[in-house]
Amino acid sequence: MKKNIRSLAIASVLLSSSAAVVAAPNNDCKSLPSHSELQTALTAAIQESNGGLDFDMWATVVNRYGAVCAVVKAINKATGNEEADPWPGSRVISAQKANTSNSFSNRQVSWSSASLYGVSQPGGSLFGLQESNPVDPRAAYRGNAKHYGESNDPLNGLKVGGINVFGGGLAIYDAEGNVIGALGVSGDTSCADHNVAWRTRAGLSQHVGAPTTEGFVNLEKINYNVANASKTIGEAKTNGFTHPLCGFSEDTVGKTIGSVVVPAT
Amino acid sequence: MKISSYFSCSKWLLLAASLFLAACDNSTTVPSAEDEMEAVTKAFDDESGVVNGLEDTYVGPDSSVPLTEAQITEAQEGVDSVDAPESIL
Repeated sequence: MKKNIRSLAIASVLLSSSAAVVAAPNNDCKSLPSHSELQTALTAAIQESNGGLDFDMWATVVNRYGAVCAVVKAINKATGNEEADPWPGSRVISAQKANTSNSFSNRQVSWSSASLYGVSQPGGSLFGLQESNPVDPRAAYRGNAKHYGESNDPLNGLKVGGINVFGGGLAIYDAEGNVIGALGVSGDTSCADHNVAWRTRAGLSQHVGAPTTEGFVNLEKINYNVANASKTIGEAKTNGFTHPLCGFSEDTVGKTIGSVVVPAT
Repeated sequence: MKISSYFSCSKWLLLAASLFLAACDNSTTVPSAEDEMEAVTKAFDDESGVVNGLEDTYVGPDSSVPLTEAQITEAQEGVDSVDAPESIL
């Protein structure tokens, strides 16, 4: 009898732990930021120096199924604009970046969109990745453009798709180490976008942080160490998956906020 | 070879070459194929919704509070109903 009880207890523990690993999230946005929460986080992030052009910006959050939960645009005070005027084309790019990091992050690895740049170039092991999950134009360009970035943005609830391999996309993790969605930002240089995404995600209470468990591969930081980039996957964990510099001071800012891989001296 | 025989031979060669070119000329069929392709493209555009099927007045569900699964499903069905590709559901 004791043996049976012990077996039952072990089975229960295994079942509960396996349930924690494989439990599928609901296709909703309840554990992700609302429009106003995302707006607040993005606005705060772009008032800081991010080393780029200091433009107005877009941000998009998708859930684990790739459905858009919110799209916002925010004014950078440096522009002096009374209404946000980010590059119109960057709205879909922000959604692409969110979709990218959500698509290629899980309990074993977290990819920023920036870290996919190097390996998706000609000769790289993921060359052509950008073409693998195209944007659905019916979702991307649906509806009245006047509502783009508002709480009723026509992208809400839709699977926009798209893969983007430059800076600005980061996965969102819950306390159990599960990816619950992702954030994408766009509207500045891609290197500044990465910094903005880094700051914006830090301002979202829903993001607890990528797992620190042994074996987890964290590829969230942008790596400008192109000259020393290794072409081998094994070494790429430390010095590969690079992204070109953007020509301003994004790398300097990145070092101060911890969003950059600092090359070993 | 007499000069008259030469021209006589050339005449028949030219005639044969002309007949060969005429047989290979597809100028009478290409426009017809292009017309058909344009018709197919236009029909696709008309029916797919990418060009004509979506209304500009559409707005998404309100994300002032996090979207529910029902709101997401309804939004996705709205897009899918435009050309109903079951494979993307």
